[in-house]
Amino acid sequence: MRIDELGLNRFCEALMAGQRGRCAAMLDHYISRRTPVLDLYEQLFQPALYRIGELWETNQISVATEHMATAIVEGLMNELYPRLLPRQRRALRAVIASVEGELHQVGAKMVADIFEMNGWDAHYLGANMPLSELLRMIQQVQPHVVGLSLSVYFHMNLLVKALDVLHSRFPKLILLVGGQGFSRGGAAIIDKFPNARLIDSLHQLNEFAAQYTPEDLESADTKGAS
Amino acid sequence: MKVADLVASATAFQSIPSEALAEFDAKREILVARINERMLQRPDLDALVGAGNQQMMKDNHANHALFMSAVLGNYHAQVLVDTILWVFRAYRSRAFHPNYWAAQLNAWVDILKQELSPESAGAILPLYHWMIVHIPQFSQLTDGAAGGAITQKAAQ
Repeated sequence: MRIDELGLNRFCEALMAGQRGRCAAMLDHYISRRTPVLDLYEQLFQPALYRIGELWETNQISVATEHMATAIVEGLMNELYPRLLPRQRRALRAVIASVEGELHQVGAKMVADIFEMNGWDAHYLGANMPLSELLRMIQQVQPHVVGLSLSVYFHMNLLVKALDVLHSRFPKLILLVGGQGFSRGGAAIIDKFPNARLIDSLHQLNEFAAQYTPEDLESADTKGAS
Repeated sequence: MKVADLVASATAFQSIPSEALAEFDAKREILVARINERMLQRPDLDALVGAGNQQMMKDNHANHALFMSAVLGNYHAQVLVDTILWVFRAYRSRAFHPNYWAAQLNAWVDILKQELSPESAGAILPLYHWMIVHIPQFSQLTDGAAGGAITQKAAQ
């Protein structure tokens, strides 16, 4: 079932009113109509949060309302989690985090969920991940892919620093980057990293996660230098 | 002047030399401390940023330094203009007056001259001068944002 503008408007209203139960009921309605999880993310959660961000930007809602709405969406995503797991796992691993300094995390959480939907083990590290700790986690997990989320352009230098270090330490590791921070530009910055790719949408990410197989991916040199 | 015109006028700039960027980054916390000191001393601060908005102003200064570092290192005119307009909208909706940016950016120019080497300041300041010259255009393009709903309700 496609989510229309009316449904999105109602969902946004409920989020801003803090009506968690009503939001959950709306989600149940879409699930009962077999709306795919990817559609729920792309057509409901993501546009709702973008709209709420714009309302905060113009001081139509407070930061508390914005945080409340975000927290409700994260809670709904947690409720969806058991539904998005496929029957078969694929022995592929991803580490997903928001760049150091970046406090927004819902986008990275969606990325992790989409990897899981496609049978990957996604290690979701949340917001503001210090680079040193990210490196330690990569050594431990030995992922095939690392995903870094950038919600605000201000943190671009920290992303570039992370890509520099990751590319140097793990030259075969696929690095995916994305987020609202790229909405006005910055794609060219990624071009200098041969194994880094900018992901423009959840749909594009889903295709990536679905298409790659253990045979396609080179084994990630994640032992690196300590 | 439209947004496209602003972007066109900003395309002459380029990323700055890595040495200048390194110095700016190394001194970023000092620079932010200086701008905060300078602005907090102003007797007209409430008129510039709105009553009770001093922490918001300090947050803006920290974000400004981060953003300038990102832009100076990987210059992109569209990102620069769009972000400046975003900042004007977000802060004007919270009672910041356009004169704040005149005061702030002129203070940044003084501070950068004082704290950075002449070579680094020379590489960075043209972009600040461009921003200062175009404050009227940024203001005009964001006039609709002034006095957002929450600020208006609080004033009643």
